[in-house]
Amino acid sequence: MSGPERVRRRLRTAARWAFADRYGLVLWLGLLCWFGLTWRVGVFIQDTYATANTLVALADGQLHVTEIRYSLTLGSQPGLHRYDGLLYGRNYGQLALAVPLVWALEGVATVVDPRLLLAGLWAGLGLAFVTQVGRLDGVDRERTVTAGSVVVALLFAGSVLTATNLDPDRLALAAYQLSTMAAAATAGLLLYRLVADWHGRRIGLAAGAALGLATPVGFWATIPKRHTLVAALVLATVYAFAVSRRTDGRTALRARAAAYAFAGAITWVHAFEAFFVVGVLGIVDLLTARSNRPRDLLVVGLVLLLAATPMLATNYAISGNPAEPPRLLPNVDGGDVEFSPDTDGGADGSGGTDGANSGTDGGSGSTGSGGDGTSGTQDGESARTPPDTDPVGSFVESTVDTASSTAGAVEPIWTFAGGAVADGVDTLDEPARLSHVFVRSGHVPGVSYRLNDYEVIELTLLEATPILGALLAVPVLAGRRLTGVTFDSLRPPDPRTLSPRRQTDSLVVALAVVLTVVYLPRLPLFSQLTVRYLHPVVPLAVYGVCRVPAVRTAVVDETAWLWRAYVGSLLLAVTVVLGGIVGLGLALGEAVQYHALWNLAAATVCALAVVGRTLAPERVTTRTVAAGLALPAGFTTAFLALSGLVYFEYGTYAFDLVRVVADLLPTL
Amino acid sequence: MVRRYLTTGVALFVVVVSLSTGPLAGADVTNERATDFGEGTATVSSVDVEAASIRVTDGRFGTGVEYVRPPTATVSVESVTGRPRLVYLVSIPNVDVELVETTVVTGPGTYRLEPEDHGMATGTADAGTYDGTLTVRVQSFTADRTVYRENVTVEVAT
Repeated sequence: MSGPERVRRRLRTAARWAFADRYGLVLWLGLLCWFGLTWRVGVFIQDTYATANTLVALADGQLHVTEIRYSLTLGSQPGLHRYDGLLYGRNYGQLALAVPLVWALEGVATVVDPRLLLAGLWAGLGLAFVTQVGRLDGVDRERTVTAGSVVVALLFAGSVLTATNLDPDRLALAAYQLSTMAAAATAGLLLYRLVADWHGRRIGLAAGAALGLATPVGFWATIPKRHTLVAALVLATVYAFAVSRRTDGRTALRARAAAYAFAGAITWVHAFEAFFVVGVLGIVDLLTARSNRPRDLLVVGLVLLLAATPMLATNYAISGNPAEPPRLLPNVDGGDVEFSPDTDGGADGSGGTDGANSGTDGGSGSTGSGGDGTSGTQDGESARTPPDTDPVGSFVESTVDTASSTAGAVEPIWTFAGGAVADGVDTLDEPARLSHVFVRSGHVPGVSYRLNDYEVIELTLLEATPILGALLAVPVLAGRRLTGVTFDSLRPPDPRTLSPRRQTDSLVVALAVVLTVVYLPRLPLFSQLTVRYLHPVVPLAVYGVCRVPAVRTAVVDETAWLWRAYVGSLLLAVTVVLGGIVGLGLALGEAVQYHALWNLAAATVCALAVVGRTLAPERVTTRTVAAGLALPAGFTTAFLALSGLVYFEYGTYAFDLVRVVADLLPTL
Repeated sequence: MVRRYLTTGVALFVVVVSLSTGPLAGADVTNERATDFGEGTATVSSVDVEAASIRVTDGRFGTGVEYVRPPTATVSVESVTGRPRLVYLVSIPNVDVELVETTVVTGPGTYRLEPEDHGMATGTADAGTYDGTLTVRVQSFTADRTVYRENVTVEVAT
């Protein structure tokens, strides 16, 4: 075998390992191109300043912030933590992922103008995409590649002709955003692989594409918050778990270990969320594993430890205590201010140090004090404002205080985790609150809209992801299963004898429930936009949609119809919304709530179609179900596109051609 | 075969353009950003504002807030030197509202300045009417000239 031949073969093996097949690669490239369309190089949520500055330092080989390259105003840098006189950021695992991209972009920028570098990157991705599409079975290769190449060339030329200055010091931020976009595209790819393994390529592709086009994953793809990466890692955990259940021997053990590796890697991004992911994985895995021999447990245990090592090492390097993540360190003045105070999760424990987190008033049904606590930071009082002394708040405070002061802060984390779950469960008997998180937002009492200039832009999970209306069929399916069995067989089955699919379903349900419940005490909250704290649940929920038989038949049997209905729905959505903006003179909050109502209507249609088909397959056609799925998908895509082009303005469009188009659209 | 040359051609085009406009080659093709203004001035022939239409109304679709709805200003620019900008100010001091909308003018023509509606907590505007001022200015590094100013009564229709 010649040298180049061997290289090519290796590349092919690596590509197959990463993308499964050409469809996976096409999906991944396509999602990246789509995210790039509304990509703006800039800061959407203010706590990105601190992490972006930390990234600059990290790319320079330092853990502590050495240079404030990005800032809005002097002194305002929410999310910085102080230890021993030095300033630290957080989410180091996410930053580490972006470091090679910073080096690459800044390196190439020595010979290419930053703006053209981004345009060239987009063109390169576009070319790779059309070339790969051209090689798919059943595609007219000649025509696709010719037309695609011409389109890419025109887009690139257009971007060059309209190019504006981009300061080279924005490139680190751009790299940071690119890393999140890659994570979002990877989430789509993982969902494709997971669903395709169970139910075939078509539904897998539809699931992966829907994740990027018709869920908030598309919204957060270009915003470098941790949520996207955690969502991708959770999905990777589930995928590896699924592989471990449908394979045997060494492959199964390797996949099982990989599941722990992905879950363990989350510790480096957000220890609080990782704690629950690892915990749930551990429980479901041990209960359902075919074998829990000491050798197997030793392997997964070691892998988990290895995966958590970067987190432990970072913590050790910063504070000398491996169990104390930077989030537990004292906040720097400025606290969690701004448009989006990141009142992040509990064990991250910011509750102890910033006023914003005192808002975990479990019983009152609102997080008003969360908002108020933060609003105190607006006038420079900053995070030193002591938290309210509500029982939960002080519990959080005392827990975290202990955590901060104890060298081996493991025990308080356990206490805290238990508390978080208990508080979450307590909120389950508050229907109004749950409805404001999951169903209908509008003006939610207790949420501080002041920080967003009274724009009511916080959507609920269903408003942001109306395709989840299809999940209403799940209780129907469960009910049918229960009524169809005899009393005797109602005894819980041995989890070990469940099929690989059922075992994976169990993990997905457990993860979704736990990751939701632990955040419920904090919700509803301002600056969530699409309930971003519940972001990792979105891909899991889309997996759930794909597990509904009525959905699968519709997607597989009526793919062409689904696609046409989707395009029709998207056009309809863009028309009614732009019509609303122009005809009704909508303000930002009104436009977002207008979307919300349309999305809820679409979710209702979707739910009716899928439940109807499940109950009475002879009366509801697969085409109706396909249309019912396409409707919410099209409306969500319209929301994502208009959010990028019309509603939320910040930074500069990565591709100036998009700016030119956005300028032509009606404004609010 | 055509497509292979085409793809390679496009890829080469991208690389060559990127390199030839880079810092080493020195042919900078990027323009100033549309929002960057500089020196110069503009002659404004007319400013058209539906001043009477300004009001405070309730937010719709469940927003549960109230909005100041400022009128659009249509400015006809006769001539321009340099890179000045138009500044449109809507001010209602008694409810602490100061809205600013700007646009850089690069040539003669008609410019529309549409400030976004401004959200406020319900009950902020508790009087029946408020006094407000609408102002349009031509502004640059060296000049700042008011070309339109009108006192208006803001009706509260909540």
